[in-house]
Amino acid sequence: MTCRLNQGGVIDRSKPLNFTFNGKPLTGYAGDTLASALLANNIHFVTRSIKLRRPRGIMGRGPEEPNALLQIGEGPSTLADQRATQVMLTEGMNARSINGWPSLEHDLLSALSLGSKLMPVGFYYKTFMGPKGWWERYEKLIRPIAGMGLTPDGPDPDLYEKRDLHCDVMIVGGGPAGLAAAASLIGTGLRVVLAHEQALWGGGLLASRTQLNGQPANAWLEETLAALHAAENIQLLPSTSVFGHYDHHFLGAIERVREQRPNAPIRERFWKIRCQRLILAAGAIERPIVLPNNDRPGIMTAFAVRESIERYAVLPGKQAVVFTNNDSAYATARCLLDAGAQVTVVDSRASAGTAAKAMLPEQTTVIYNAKVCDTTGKKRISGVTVRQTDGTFTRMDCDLLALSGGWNPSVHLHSHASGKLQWDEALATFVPQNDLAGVRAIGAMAGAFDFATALTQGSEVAREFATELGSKAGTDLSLPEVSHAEPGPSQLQPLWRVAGKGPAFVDMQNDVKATDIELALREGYRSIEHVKRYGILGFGTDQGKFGNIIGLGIVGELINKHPTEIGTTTYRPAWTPVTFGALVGPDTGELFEPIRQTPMHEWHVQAGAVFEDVGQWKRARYYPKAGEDMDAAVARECLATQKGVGVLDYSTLGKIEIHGPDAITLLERVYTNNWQKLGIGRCRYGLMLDENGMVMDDGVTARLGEQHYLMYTSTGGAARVLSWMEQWLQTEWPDLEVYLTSVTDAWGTISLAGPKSRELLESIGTDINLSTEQFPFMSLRTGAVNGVPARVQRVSFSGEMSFEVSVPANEAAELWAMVMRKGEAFGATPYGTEAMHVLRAEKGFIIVGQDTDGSISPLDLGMEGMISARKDCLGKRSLMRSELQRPDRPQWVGLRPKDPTKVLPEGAQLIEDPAAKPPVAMQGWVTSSYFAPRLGHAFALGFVNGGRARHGESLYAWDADAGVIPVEITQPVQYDPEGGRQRD
Amino acid sequence: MIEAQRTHLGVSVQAEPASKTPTYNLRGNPQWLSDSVSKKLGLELPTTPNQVAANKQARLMWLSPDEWLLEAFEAEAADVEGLLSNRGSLVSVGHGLVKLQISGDQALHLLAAGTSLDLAQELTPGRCLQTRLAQVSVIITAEPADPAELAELAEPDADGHANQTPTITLWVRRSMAHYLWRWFEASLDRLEPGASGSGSASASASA
Repeated sequence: MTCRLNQGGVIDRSKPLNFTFNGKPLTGYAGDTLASALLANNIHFVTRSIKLRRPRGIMGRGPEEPNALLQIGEGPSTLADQRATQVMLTEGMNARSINGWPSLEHDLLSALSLGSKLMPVGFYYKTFMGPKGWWERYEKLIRPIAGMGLTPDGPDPDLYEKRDLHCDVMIVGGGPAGLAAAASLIGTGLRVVLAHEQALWGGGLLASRTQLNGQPANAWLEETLAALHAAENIQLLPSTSVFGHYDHHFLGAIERVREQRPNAPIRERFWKIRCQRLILAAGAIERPIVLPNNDRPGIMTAFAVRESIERYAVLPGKQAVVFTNNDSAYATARCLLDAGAQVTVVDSRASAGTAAKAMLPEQTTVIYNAKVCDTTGKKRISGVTVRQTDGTFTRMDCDLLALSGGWNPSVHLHSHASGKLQWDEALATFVPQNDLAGVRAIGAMAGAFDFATALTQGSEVAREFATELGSKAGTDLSLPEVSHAEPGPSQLQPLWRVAGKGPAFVDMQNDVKATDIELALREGYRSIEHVKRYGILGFGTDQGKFGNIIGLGIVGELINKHPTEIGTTTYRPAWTPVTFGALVGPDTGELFEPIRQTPMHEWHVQAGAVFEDVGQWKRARYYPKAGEDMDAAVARECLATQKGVGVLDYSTLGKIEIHGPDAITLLERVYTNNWQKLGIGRCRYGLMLDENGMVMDDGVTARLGEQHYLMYTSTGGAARVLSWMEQWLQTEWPDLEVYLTSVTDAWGTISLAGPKSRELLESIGTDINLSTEQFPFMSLRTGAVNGVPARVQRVSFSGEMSFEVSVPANEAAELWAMVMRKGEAFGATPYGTEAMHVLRAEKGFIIVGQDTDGSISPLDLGMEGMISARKDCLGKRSLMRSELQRPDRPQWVGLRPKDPTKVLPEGAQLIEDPAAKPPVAMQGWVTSSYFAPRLGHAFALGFVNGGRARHGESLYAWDADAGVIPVEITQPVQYDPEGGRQRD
Repeated sequence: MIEAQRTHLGVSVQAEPASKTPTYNLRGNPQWLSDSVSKKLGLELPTTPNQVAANKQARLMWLSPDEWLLEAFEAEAADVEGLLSNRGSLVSVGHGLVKLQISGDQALHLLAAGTSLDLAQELTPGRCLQTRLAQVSVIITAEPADPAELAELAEPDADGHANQTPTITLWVRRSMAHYLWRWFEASLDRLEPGASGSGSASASASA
């Protein structure tokens, strides 16, 4: 049975659209929402309520819809809980109910509704409190029942974009007020953005018979939109929900791009909007009246019924009861009558306003001083009971009940940014009190329900803002003359709920009843915030757009307080739910965060390297050969440096050039050791402390010239060290004449480590004399390598003789390839960061950030010798604190597992007695642990309380997974303690 | 990835090593640098934040009160190495930067997908900006990449309008260039045809 009217509406009858609902094939038209298309097919019953499983129907017409939350589409792109009232119908749409098992019509859990009295709010908290630990069991049963739709079963296949948008005037809402404001700004030269939540412009005009300049509103709409489209300074964003308003005129909006352009590459776009002036014309939402059994399919708000008829040409019922406490619903009664329905108006007031009365033919049945106090029907309303003040009850049949309890301005975007509200007695609701600076609420959102006022307000505020922003005059907008306007919610007599038997729902989505609010008050809650939380009132995805003000009214009546004394709960973003995908945009997968690559990255990829993340860098961790696991590959790579030559991509090390006469003073102040006597061409290891005296970074600094140094930092510490030094130079030491420049990315560095490294470098060709006499350990030479300008440094992190060759970054890949080619003769083996870590551990070198954690001082590391007594430096004075002088501080040690094959887990605790019962005193912990190929046994580094005096003692490493492993405390340096190999 | 080019919907993004043009980080006190800059480069040292000074030989972009990015288009003609006399610092950084050039009607839209700066207002000729694009730091200017375009830009086009859409040039750290390139590709894929529809409002009302 179709409920579509033969004419009228703004749907396109030439474009029928096929869709399915719960598998049933149906037809609608372009211009329909999913809700209007369902109603056209006489489908009201679309879901069952979340807790009590009661049949529910489409009730609202926009973002307030609490019931018609449907699952749309399948597989990875399925969307859950979509408000059918806001989803534009598309060809082939597949919509399903989210509640109802095994089907919507035959729901086994609907028996729950029989026990509704046994399940008031707080039922779950109270019933399932204990015994301890049992919630996990209950949850298995409760969760599937409490479901809210299905999540996608795979990664979202759609694309999303986010974009920043800057404008002079932002207008939210494309109804008459917003359109008038935008039109008044045409030609002002100001950048204006007009966003509208719906696909079609016009707001309330689309459901109205109002005439503008004696014509149907449509003519004015078309003319105005054409002018706006043609204006260069106006950007129109239809199908765009502004979901949040934040400080400093910053707004978030989601544009449903494909609603306007179905073939667009993106589904949604997230706009981050910053504006100088903000005009809010967000409209208002009609609220129902709460009454017993007010949740049956076929019960809608009066405006939802009117819009259904006027905009979508759908008659949602043939025998209608309109129940109201104000004048606005009379327009609904009129259009129901015109569409051929039988109508009875039940008005809780003694009489209606003149304009309202004039809407209806004289013979229309209007019952004053009456309230609908109950309804009947199962999956569709079948009748109502009307109680008059004289005590008579009348039962009447109907298939539609239209409710109007007044209108709530959509003050959300005003309130998000802490705008205050005030109670409007005439409207019995909250309206914005004072506009925020540079912001103006207009139209229905500000309580102005007649179009003439809305148009005037829009035009006036636009002119005012344009003047404030110093713009030239815009086009002279002559406002249209408004006639035949429907009455607004005038002569309203507050009526929150009708007493009577049967559940009276305040919040449909969460099954919160008026009696639940009573219970919350009996429990002693008084603050509306507490009542809301105890009663889960307004906790659904609709955020209480219907129920919150009514709930507040009911609380006020029960505790005899004025709504102003009670106040509202806090309006928080988002206005309607926001897609995560849109917030993320393209920043997923490889774009989740920046990936830094060295110049030789591609070679490592080709060589089959396994990578690891070091900060944002991708570093080759090891290069497995066929059949090798990590341990085998790392052992092979380690031994290559001992026997031939290992080749490491060292480009990620932080590199800072330091210039200026005071360079040496800076080094003296940031490093613990002495830099006065470092000659040109020499380098030195330095230790950097934070103010607290804890190790912050370490590295080698070379002197390149009289006033020129090159500082190396750890890979992860580069940015921190640069900003640390800049901070001191800019804030505390502006008198120092010294300049820093990061050159990390400008150089590619290849480290050749091993006894054959010198021969290899010679075979590549260099004009630098590589002999130990001319080029000793801990020095730097500049020259040419393979014909390219190079800086070559003799330092060693591996314990083997090493040459670190740095060349301009764009030359590094070629040099690396050459090294590998020429290196074949010398057994050159690329090695990764894992082997690098093992090699340095055998030498007892720390890695800042792995072995230290911000609580380790140089004293703990046994590096007193690195602290110059001659001078002061950052952090030095902190080392004098008694806590740091304690002899039983954790101290840096080596740890040798008694079973040479057992590799300790990093992070394992060190204890004295493995049989002790908790709490067990901790003696220390493991920071680095490997099988050490050059030593031939497992070896670890870590900290032990007073460890330097305990070499030779035994402890136990304890780890939840690995169990207990006996270890012996040793000195940290195990490989070539005399250092002969690296000096060679 | 160092050299790459992609065009989509009329927007072109092109990447190349900044080292093709000798590029330096210049630091020092403007009081004693400005004379030498004027003498050796024929340029007035920019001291206003985000200001650019350029001629056929060289371009200087203000980065901080004592720091500039210096491009030497004609390294020989401009005596770059002679700029400093024992004070300040001049460090070659071209190998550490990748230069990207973006052109086309929707170039600003593309960038608005990654930066919250109001580029239409901020990225005017004669200025450079340091900002965050996607998740990395960039230096960005609407000055032409090639000094030959300088003259072209000054010439009004056939309709007598000033050339409003110069190429946008930006510099990113070399190590992050691959990431940024992939971001540009992803963002190009997300562009809609034509600047209309979701097109932006332009500040200049119909001229």
